Amino acid sequence: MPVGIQQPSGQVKLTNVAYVRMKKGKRRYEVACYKNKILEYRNKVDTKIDNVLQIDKVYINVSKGQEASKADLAKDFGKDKTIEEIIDDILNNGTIQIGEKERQAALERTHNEVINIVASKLVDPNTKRVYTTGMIEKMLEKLSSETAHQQQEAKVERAAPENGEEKGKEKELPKWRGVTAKKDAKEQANWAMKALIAHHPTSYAKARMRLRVVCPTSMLKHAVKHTQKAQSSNDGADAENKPTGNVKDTILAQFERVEDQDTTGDEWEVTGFAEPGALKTLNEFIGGQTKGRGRVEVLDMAMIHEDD
Amino acid sequence: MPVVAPEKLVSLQNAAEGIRNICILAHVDHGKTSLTDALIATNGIISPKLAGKIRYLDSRPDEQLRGITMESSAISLYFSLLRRSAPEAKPEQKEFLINLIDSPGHIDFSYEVSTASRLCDGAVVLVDAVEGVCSQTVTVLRQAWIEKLKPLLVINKMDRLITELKMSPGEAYTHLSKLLEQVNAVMGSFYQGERMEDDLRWREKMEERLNAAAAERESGGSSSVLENGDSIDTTNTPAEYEEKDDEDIYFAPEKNNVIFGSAIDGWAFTVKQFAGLYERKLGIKRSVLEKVLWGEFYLDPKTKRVLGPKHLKGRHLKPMFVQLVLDNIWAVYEATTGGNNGKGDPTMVEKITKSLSLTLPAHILRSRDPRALLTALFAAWLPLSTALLVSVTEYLPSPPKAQAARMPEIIDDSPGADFVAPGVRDAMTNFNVSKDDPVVAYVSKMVAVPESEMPENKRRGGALSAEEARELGRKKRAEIARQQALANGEGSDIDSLTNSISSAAIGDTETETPEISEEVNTDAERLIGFARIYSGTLSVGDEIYVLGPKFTPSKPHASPEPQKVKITALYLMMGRGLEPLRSVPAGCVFGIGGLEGHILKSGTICSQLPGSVNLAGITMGTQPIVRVALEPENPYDLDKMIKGLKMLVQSDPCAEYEVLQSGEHVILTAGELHLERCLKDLRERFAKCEIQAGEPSVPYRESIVSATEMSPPKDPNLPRGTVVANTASKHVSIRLRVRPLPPSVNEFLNRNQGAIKRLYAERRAEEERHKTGADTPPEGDQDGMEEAEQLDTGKTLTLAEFKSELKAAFDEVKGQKEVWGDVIDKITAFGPRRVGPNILVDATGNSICERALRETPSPGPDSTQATEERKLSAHAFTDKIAYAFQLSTAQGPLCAEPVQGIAVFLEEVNIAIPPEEEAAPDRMGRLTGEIIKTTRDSIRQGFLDWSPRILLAMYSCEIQASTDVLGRVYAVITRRNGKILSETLSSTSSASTTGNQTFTISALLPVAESFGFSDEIRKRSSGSASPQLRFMGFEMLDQDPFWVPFTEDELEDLGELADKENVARRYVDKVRRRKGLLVKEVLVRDAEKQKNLKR
Repeated sequence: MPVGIQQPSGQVKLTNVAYVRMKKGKRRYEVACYKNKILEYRNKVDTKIDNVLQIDKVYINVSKGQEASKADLAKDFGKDKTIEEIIDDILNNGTIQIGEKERQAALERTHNEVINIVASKLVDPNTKRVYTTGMIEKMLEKLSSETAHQQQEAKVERAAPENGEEKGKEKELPKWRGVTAKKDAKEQANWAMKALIAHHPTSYAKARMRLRVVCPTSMLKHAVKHTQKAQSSNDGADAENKPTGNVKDTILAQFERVEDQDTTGDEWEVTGFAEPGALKTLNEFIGGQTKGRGRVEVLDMAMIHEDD
Repeated sequence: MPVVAPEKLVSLQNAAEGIRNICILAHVDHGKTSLTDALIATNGIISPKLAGKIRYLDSRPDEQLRGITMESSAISLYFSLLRRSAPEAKPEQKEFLINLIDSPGHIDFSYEVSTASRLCDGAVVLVDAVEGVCSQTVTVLRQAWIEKLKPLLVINKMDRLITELKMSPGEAYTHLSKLLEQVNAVMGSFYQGERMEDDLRWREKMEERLNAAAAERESGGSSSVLENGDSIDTTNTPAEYEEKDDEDIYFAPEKNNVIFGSAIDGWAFTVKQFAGLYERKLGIKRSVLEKVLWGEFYLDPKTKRVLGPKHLKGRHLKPMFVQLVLDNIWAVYEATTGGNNGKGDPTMVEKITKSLSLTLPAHILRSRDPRALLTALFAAWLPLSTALLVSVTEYLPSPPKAQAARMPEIIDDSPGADFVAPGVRDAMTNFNVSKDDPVVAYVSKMVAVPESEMPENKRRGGALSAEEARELGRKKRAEIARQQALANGEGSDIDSLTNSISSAAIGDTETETPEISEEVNTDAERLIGFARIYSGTLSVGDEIYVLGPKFTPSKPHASPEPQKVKITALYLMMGRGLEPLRSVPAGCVFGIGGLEGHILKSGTICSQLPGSVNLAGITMGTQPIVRVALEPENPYDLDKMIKGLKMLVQSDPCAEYEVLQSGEHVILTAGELHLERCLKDLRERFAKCEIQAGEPSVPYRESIVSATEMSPPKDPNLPRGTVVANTASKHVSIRLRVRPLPPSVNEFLNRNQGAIKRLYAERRAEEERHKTGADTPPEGDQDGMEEAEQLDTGKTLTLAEFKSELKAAFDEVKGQKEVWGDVIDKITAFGPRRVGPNILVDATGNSICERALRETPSPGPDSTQATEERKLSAHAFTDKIAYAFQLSTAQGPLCAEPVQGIAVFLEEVNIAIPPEEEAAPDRMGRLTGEIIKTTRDSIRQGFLDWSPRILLAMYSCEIQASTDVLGRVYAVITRRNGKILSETLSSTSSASTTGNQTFTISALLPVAESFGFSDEIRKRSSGSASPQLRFMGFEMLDQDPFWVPFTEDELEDLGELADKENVARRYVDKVRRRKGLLVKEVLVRDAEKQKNLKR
């Protein structure tokens, strides 16, 4: 054997390592995993620990190969814990590095979810028909690329701020920059809808909810009172300091289109279409005003055109 | 040849005897368009040299590119004939107007054939001499048979027998006679089919009469009158079935209805022609020669007498057809292109020309191209156009004759035939042309023509006058303004402006300049009706009624009431071009303007409304089956696309367009090729934007079953499907149980969604009056509403009926009486969308839900708190729970698709609001959200406690296939997870041509697997099997998507990870992935085998 060359014998080299780190006690523990597998383990998609873990040891520092001492582990995790349990604890609760593929999959999932939510809630105001997910996707893509374009322009303009009036108008519109995996899909979908409606008010609108409000007739003519006041006084007598109108008008004001109004017996009932946002307001209003004797029912979450 | 002026054609339209309306039908690539070329060349529209190559009537670029015809197109041709009425009389010139319709041969466009054939009186059916009878040949022959068109057979591509197959004349003769037999066999099968039907009808009639007579005899007793009547009876009906003569339907060369020819080389002949040629030479009478020239007749070389096969006496002679006809043609080929390595034999050519006494121009004789010589020789000797046109004019009927024969039957077949006014019937059959007679015309299809090609917009030539120049300037200014408007993005103005421009363009005919017409070209497509007039005379400006295909004369004013429409223009169809006309007499095929928006696809136009006839009620031979979803590439173009689609549907008789509930725009086409054409049309003409086609999204349903092997319930203390859940604030706890609905009930609910919908509507109106809600029995005042509903739902039930039938459905279930016995009265809601096949049952001890009580809340079981609060809860929560039920049934836990067939029993709702929180102002709002969420989650949980199933949307599929392709059809169906239901041998099918038996296979096919199915079937069976798909409903895939082997046996058999793919799981995951739901799937199967990023 030639002199001077040392063969690393008995040395295990780990490649494609993803660390999971957890602070316990005063020490930081690490385990070495394969990339793209930790989330699957947490989601219980892949239950085989061998497929996730590179080596069943707990380290203080993986890259240096420093193993955690048994005493430390016992001290920090509890004496009766086996090494498997400790590893499981670290895998499930430690901070992880998300692999490229995992990130991509998560982003795709959020993206699809956002698109689906938007597609189910937006309609063409002219035909009351929904758009396909494909159309929504394309439209959002267009919007985000436009936004990016505008930003570039804005940068140029900031360098030479001359025509500021035009820019002001553009700024009001909500901007859509594409889906991120960080935020909740619902939240992003709401933002996307806002942006779409703002940019193309003629071709996109939120689908209306179909609501039914039932209210005792005796209360219809009552003037609207403050909720706090309603709690303090059990009859609606002290309404004079809030002369905004009676209960009926307030309810009707929330509706965009009233389909049917009917008084039967001692109950008054109205069915109609309202913006999705109106539901919350109505619910609170009715709850506060009628003390539970009136109610709001959702007949349809989103009214879309249907073929019979 | 001189160009025939359109004026001449127009003048000929009035001479009905000289009109022939023919269509050219054949299998794809049998040479229809090439044949038409030869005819067009006679009118000088194209050069005779190019005839057969240019394919003039294939005006679309893609038709030229692919070399197949896709749209039928018409052209009017002039033909004059010198004919002697008597042998010694002076030949007099007869002029003919031939309206020729060239139709496509591909199976995807067979609807074009059916529309074209109704316009015509006669058909020219082409058969490839080599390929013989093909599938589409049979179809077109049947079409001609159904439409009662007189067919003329052309055996085309005879040159292939000589040059490709290198047959000897004798072989060719046997081949041809076999071919003829094939065609006649097809014709015979149609005849047989009809004969059998007739026979059956006749038998029925006889039986009826016999029965009637017998009955009379019994009742009449012993009267002598009866005897008399009986005898009359028997004399009235022929005792024997009358055999119709089937002689005239067959093709026979001696009857002059067979033409042999080669369109590409420009020659054709009939036996008659040759008889004329040989009359003098052989000294045999022409009429005799005509009869013996085809068939087993031989010419005795010594005696020059015609011999039958009996008199051959062992001599080996050629049949006369071979000797006199084919040998000569073969000799010409040999002389020109055959011998001397394909260069021809000049001496032989000389001999032939001399013997035929033809003179060929010297430059052709010297030309190096043997084909030029060949075509020139044939053009002089046996020109194709003469043979064809002479036969057409002599053999095929003129409109008056054809109508007299065809019309009575066509009218009788039309809907409401009994109500057709006698005047109309008479005018149509007797071909009355005068102005006063009723006008009846049939519009077979709408053709989209670019605005620029309209004759009004063609430049007339000549310099512009000052006024015209000013006009032009005005237009230019308008255009500039328009462009500015475009630049400013003021979308709303553009439309009106363009409209004004295009209307101006249509308005003045003289001042058009090329630029403007180009401008218009980009804007508009005009729809022109492709029509045939049967009686009366139609002029521009006439007001006529347009009858839709659903019109029936028995109810002329039924909605939609036919409109009166003014004819804005009439055209002579000249292939690519149109020639404006002032008026059209009966018997013509023409184009008609002004019907845009009035006729969808096809229709009848008539001058009177009551008593008119509907000719458009023919059923299409092919149903569109290929479904694709369309999407514009650029989302801004959606409106354009929709407009384009509507236009396309109008102009294409076979394309259909629908919008799905998911918002998809789906078109249905007859085949892949048809689809391609439709897309091209959309992109380039109608929508003018990029369009993508894709797989339409497929609906699924979710359900549960009680399977024999299920994993144990999640909570061992509770019965399966039961969930107890607390809201996040721990104030309300809900206990509910999910159960699968019995199949009978499920099916019943599915069937009666309309009824449930109506019940809801009624109940909403009535529930306040009757506090018990939907339990109210139906009352008299509901009837009107019911009737109105019945119109659109078809079948609805009254509440009582509904209840009793539902009860019957529940009663069908055995062994679960205690569960379902009293459920009906406790049903609180249906879902999803309040009409679906799932029920929410109120099984709480005190019935807190809507149905039982609403106004008088009873205290709950643990009611120790203030009654006011209790009341509030009872009110508030039931509708929240019902809403949560709707939500959870609309989006099931498997892949967020609608659920069907579950019952949710609400068992308990407990409220424990601590008194100190009661006063919180937002309590209600917060609780609402909590309750909805909790209920929804627990319903899902309960759902998954059972064995979940996914239901696939299914097509029921019918395929007719002959035995030789049966195996391949099966292979395709099984590969696509289809299920064969039955196969039956259909013995009377006329589709079988070769004596093969035809099977009818009915199968179920998942919609998800149907994309490209029909095309695959067609391809694999070489076009002889074509499926009919019809949406059937949902069918359960009996496999748990979450199933993994868990019993010992299964583990042993299949291993820990089941080797076999879980099909249900695959469908579920596909949908989940599409919707962005979490898919339980490993991203990296073998983690250690990932690509090593370092080193």
